[in-house]
Amino acid sequence: MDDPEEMVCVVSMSVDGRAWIVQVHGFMDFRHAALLREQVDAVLRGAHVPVLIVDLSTVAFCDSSGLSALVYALRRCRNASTHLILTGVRGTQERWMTITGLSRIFDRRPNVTDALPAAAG
Amino acid sequence: MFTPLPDSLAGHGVTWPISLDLPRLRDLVCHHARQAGLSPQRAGDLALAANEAVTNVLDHAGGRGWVRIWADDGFLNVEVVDLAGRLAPGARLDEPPQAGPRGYGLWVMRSLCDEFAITQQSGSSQVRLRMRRPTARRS
Repeated sequence: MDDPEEMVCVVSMSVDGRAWIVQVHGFMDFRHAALLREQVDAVLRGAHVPVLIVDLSTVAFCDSSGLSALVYALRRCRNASTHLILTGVRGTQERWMTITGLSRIFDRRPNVTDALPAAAG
Repeated sequence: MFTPLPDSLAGHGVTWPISLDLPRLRDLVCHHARQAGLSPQRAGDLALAANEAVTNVLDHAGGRGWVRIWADDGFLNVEVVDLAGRLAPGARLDEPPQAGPRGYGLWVMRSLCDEFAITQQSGSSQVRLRMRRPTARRS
């Protein structure tokens, strides 16, 4: 991460194979939010994914484009019958969720460890 | 390229051209907001709203414009001028949008600030964000 305002997505799969985890690091803003959409598309493109966890605990800043990417992920997951869980929502993401009322729509858990039992269900 | 300020606007407040350095923008807005007596929460909200206004200019208008911030007796004011004039007044702002990145931006500016206005004049458009300053009344 040479650019301190970069955004990086790390994609992994849970041990039991039921959940995919996308960890977002850095700046989820208008320059980088498309990357999250691409990762979500890539994960959902293959075989059915029961659970997708998007971990935001290391996001430094989120603007409306970042929020929009999360809404995009929710729509894609609903179409694919995938359960979307957001973890580590805090800071500006939390503020966005509160202002827009989207906090009621997203399934949120404190961290990935808390989200994985839901994935196992 | 930097377009000089109209005479009517020059002379007070702090003005700088719009750039991709959004963290600096948020820091500057926060700093001035705190100086004007706003709480950390409201200063952060104003910085978030200003970030959205500037992002609009960068994303849709080619990034030409400036930001001006100044305090008067009642308010801290942030003005974002977009020299391409793409942002139109009268955009629907009374309910949260279903999707679309910029829709949320407008909604959040309106929701977070005490006053929000878009005006268009001679090809440029201008977003004005205002936060009421705490009154220092003494009985």
